[in-house]
Order: sequence, then C-alpha cells, then structure tokens
Amino acid sequence: MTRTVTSEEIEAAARALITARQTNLGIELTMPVVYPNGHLVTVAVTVESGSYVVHDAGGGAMYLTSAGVQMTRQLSQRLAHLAAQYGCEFVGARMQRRCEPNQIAIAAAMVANASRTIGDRALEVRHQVESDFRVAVGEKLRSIGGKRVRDNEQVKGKHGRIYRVPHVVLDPSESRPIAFVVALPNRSVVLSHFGELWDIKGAHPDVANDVVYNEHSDIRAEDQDLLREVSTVIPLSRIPDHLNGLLAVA
Amino acid sequence: MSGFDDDVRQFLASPKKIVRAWRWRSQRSDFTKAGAGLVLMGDAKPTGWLQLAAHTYREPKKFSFSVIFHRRRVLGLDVEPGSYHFNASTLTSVLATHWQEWPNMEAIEDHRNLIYSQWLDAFLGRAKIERPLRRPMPSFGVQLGLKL
Repeated sequence: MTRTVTSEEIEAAARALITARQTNLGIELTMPVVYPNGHLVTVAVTVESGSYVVHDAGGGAMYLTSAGVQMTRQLSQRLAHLAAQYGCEFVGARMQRRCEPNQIAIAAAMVANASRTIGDRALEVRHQVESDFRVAVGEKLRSIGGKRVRDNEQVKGKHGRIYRVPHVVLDPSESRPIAFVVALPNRSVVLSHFGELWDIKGAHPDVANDVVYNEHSDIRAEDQDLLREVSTVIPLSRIPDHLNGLLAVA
Repeated sequence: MSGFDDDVRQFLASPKKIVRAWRWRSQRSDFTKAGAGLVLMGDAKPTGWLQLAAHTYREPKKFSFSVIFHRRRVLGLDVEPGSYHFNASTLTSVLATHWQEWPNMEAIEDHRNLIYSQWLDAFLGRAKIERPLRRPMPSFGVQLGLKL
C-alpha cells in the first residue's frame, strides 16, 4: 500500500536540498536546480564594493567546458542575452547578480537558473555545431566565388521532386549552374543527400555535384565512397583549391 | 546497443595518445582549462579530445577531466565537485569525487584522496591514454594579473 506523504514532509525534503556553508568563495548555497549532467547548481554570496553579489563562480561555464563545448565570442554573447532574461549578467564566464540583503534568496534562485541555462547549451551543441558547419561552408564559398555563388536555390530532380540546394555555383555569365554544393555536417544525413544528389544528377548531368564534409565529424571512409557515386567529396579545408579550379575552368 | 554506443565502447577500449601537450588558459575567469586532441595508436587523424578544467581558487580544489568523442562527454572524472550529483535514472545522489562513463553516465563515487597529478594519471590510465612526458599542471590560487 502506498504510504501517505504529508505536505510538511515534502516541504521538508525539498528544503533539505538547499544547503548553505561558509567556504573561501563566500557563502556557498546549493540550490535545487540541476545541470544536465546531474550536478546541483551552487551559487556563492559575497560582498563586493559594499553590495551583495550572488554568482555561480564560473560553475556553469566550467560545466560547459567539461562537456566539450568551446566558449566562442558568439556563444558568450548568446549567454549574456540569456542572462539578461533572468536579470543577471554573464561577465568573464561568471553568471552574477547584485542585490540587497533581503533579496539574496530570490537572487540565488535567478542566478542558479541562469547558470543552468548555460549548462543546457551542452545539449544543443551538436545541433549548433552542425548549423555552424553549414554557415562556415556558405561563408567560405561566398568569400571565394562572390556573386557566382547563390544560396538556397530550388532544383528539380529527374523524377519531378523539388529540392532546396544549399549552394549553387554559377558560370561567369551568372546564368547557368556549374555546381550544386551540399554541406555534410555528420553521418546521419549521408543517405538523404545521396538520394537527393542521385535524382538531381539524373536531371542535370552536366552540373557537378559537390559534397563538403566536416573532417572532425563521424563521417567514415565508406560514407565518402558511397557519396562519390553521385558527387565529388571534399573536406572543408580543401574548398579553396576545389572551388578556384571550378571557377577557372568554367 | 546502437551504432554510436559501439563506436564509443571501441574508442574508449582502444589505446590512445595525445597529439601534443596541452596549455592551460584562464581567460580571466574563475576557472582554467586545457585540451588536447586524442588519436588512436596507429592512426594519424585525431578522433577524440581530452578536456581538462580546474577552478582556480576554490578550496578544496575542484577540477574535472573529460574524454570528448563526437562532441559528447563519454568519460568524465569530477574531483571535489562541491555539490550533490543526482543520477537521473535512479534519483540517487553522490557528493564525493566521481566517475561517469558512457552510455548511462551514472556517477560512481571514488573516495581516494589523491593530488592533482595522481588523479590525472588515474584518468589517463582508465581512458587508455598513453601518459605523455609533459603533463602541465594548472596553476591554482588567485592571480594578481600584474603586467610583468
């Protein structure tokens, strides 16, 4: 039979998750807020220039680092924006908020949650890396091909299906495509791109299909071999050589 | 077991070495970090990453070691984390130093009382990473930031 639990018991158990102790950081508070890896968030309460500051002592950013996420300037800006949603600041990889003595508890809750949102970025990193890779491919193509590179163009395949090709390289008159370029951030999209490129190849046999892959991803030699059936497979670092060759010939 | 789990298991079980010695960078924050590419013995291309992080002034000293494989932490050691860790599947908690390993990443306590270099060696050993000759240590303590 299920034991009846009283509201008092639940409240006591929930309160027990919060602990406070004096350490060399100040007063360290463990909050009932959890990073994605299971760690409870701790915040420190200190006095700086006569006012109270509640901060995470870099805990959120340190967690992100341990999860293998590089703190880029863009990510730092994004985190600063997130911090503002909680009325906090993200300064020097530290989440913090100044407050009055009677506001410390709620400030601690806000800082803890803001710090946890930094940690949540670790879950999004794969998606972000993939999207960053696609952006990097586009930027590299445009920096070399200039106006001869168009983005997100519709192309009809041999069987009537319409595809959105991320990048199209045009001939010198900018009227005819000479290459369709697809960015391949990871292994999971190999088969879908293979089908798409095979269909497009049937309709446009004179236009080159180029697949740019991420050398640091999980793409294997056999994935590259498969894609070579319908395209030229190039690592990101070789785009300049490949594209310059393509632009010179056409 | 999925294909990725198999890849992780194989990666962790294979002998590895670091590409070059790491350098610690603090970027004026509360913690300092360092990293190095990991390459399987006999391979040329790095397929993993060793990530180290250490809080610069917290006492007791708090630091972590991670093996990153395809942007996921697949092996971790958190020394003196300073707060509870809750295992999501069992809701059990761990307060002490602990290890986490793919795929379940449940925290397993380690009550040994070691210094930084000993924890580093323990981690390199468990991750099957060849112990490099140069193993720079993090600088703990408040830095004055003087322009010398």
